[in-house]
Amino acid sequence: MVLALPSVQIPVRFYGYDTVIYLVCAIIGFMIAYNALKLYHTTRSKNHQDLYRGFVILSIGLLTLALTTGYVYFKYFVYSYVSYFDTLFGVDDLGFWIYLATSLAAYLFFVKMYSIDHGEKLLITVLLTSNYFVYFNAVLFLLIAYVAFRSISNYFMDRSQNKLLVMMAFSSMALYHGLLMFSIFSKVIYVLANLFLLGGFVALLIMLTRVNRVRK
Amino acid sequence: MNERRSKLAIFVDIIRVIRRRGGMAKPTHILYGANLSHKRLNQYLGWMIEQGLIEMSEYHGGKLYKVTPKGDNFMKEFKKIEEFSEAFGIGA
Repeated sequence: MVLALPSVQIPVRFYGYDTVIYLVCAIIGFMIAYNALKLYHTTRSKNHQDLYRGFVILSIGLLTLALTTGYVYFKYFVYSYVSYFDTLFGVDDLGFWIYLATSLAAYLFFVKMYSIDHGEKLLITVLLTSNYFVYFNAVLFLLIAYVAFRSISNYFMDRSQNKLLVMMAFSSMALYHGLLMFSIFSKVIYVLANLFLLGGFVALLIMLTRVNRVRK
Repeated sequence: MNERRSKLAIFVDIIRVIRRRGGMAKPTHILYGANLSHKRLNQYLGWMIEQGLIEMSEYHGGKLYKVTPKGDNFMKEFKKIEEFSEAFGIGA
């Protein structure tokens, strides 16, 4: 059975779990944003501001997704009823589109953060070419894949554990969008994609804990 | 690089010089260690004393600067921020 998003297949046994994943990811995202804000207040550097803006926007999108999917699952489990604004558009569809839009904005900030010299040109190019893509996830995948690539090069500079965790986080986010494109074919892919998303944000949480641990 | 950024970096450098000198340093040591002019050194030391990051004491007619507990906390916080930004490859 398929609930809500017409193109994405979600297994019934996974209903609700994805909501929890989005909520956990949003909380971790806000924690990263808070630390990035502290960093920006200290340095007043543009790329630190981009990191902050990116995570705030991404977390708002994830929170919206958690609330809308949660609402739909609640209605489904309690009243056996799927909520629609009209016959074509579901509440969680709205949440998903808000999430895609916020992800696009957030990933553009991440791309800008890693492309100080060519950031503006790159942003304009991405925005112009994105009009020709049918699938939003393909654009998001390409953007976050670029960010993941930069974090991989960053890791290989000195192979520190914190850089490894950030590399894993951005790579997992890229895999999430990559897999989501194929979730129309199999329900298992949707579950796998969400687990990658959760794994990525957990990696960020571990990095944050390591950075903020008490030391002499 | 803006004014605030360089000010913060100089605060960190001054504290690092004092620590390297065993927790107490003369103005001359800080001047060379933090690579500052005499005028800027006095300005920065004044700011840091005002903010409670370092304190000055008289020793055999000369001045000695020491890092305060607030200065130590400042360095701990800076270290966290530095590690956080380095993890993303966008150093502080």
